[in-house]
Amino acid sequence: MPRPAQRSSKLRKLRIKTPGGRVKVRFEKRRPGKPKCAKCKKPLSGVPRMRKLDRVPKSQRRPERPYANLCPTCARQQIKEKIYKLAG
Amino acid sequence: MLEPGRVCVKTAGREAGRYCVVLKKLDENFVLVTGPKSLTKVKRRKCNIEHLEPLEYKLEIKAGAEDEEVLKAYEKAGLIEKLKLQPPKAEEKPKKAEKKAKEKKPEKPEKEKPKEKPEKKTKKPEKAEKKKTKK
Repeated sequence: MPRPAQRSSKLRKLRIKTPGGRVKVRFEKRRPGKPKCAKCKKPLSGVPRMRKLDRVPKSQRRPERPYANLCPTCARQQIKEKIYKLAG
Repeated sequence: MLEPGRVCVKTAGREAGRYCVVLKKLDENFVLVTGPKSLTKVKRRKCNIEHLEPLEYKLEIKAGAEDEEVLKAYEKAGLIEKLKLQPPKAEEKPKKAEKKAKEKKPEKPEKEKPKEKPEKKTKKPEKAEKKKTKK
C-alpha cells in the first residue's frame, strides 16, 4: 500500500517499466498549467510544460525573439506599434 | 513598396524588431535582405515580405549591393544616428574581453566567501537540534 499522502489525487501517477519488466507506479507533483500570451491569453506553443525548467537549455524554454511572453501575432503588433511611436 | 534600398523592420523570428535593408526581389513573396550583420545583427538572407514592416527611409544602393556598400550608404543618409544604431568597431572587441576578465576575478571571491561561511555555520546547529527532537 502507498503512503496516505500518495493516495490523494494531489499527486499525478506515472507508470514506469523497471529493468526487471514489472510496472511500478511513481508519484510526482502535478504539472503547471500551460503558459499563456500576456495580451490575448492564448496558450503559447513551443514552451515546455514541466516543473524543473532549469534542466532544459535556455533556448528551449522560450522563443528567442523579443516579447517572449506574447504569442507571435501579438508580438508583431507590439513591434509595429513601437515603430509607429518612434516615427511619430 | 519593397524596392532595393528600402529600410525595414523585421517582425517575425529571432531577428524580430531589428532594422534591415532590402537588396533585391527574388520572387513574388520573397526578398533578399541584409542588416548588415555588423550593424544591426540581421544576417544577409532571403525573407518573406509579410515578415517585413517598411519604414519611410530609403538608401541609395544598387540592387544586390554588398554589405560594405550598404554601410557607406547608411552613413551618407545619416541613419545610424537617427535610428540610434551602434556603428561596428573592430578594435574595441579585445579590450572589452580583457576588462571583463579583470573585473570578474576580484569580485567573485569577495562575494562568495562571506556568504558561504555563515550559511554552513547556521545549518549545522539546526540539524543537530532536529536530531535531538526526533530522538
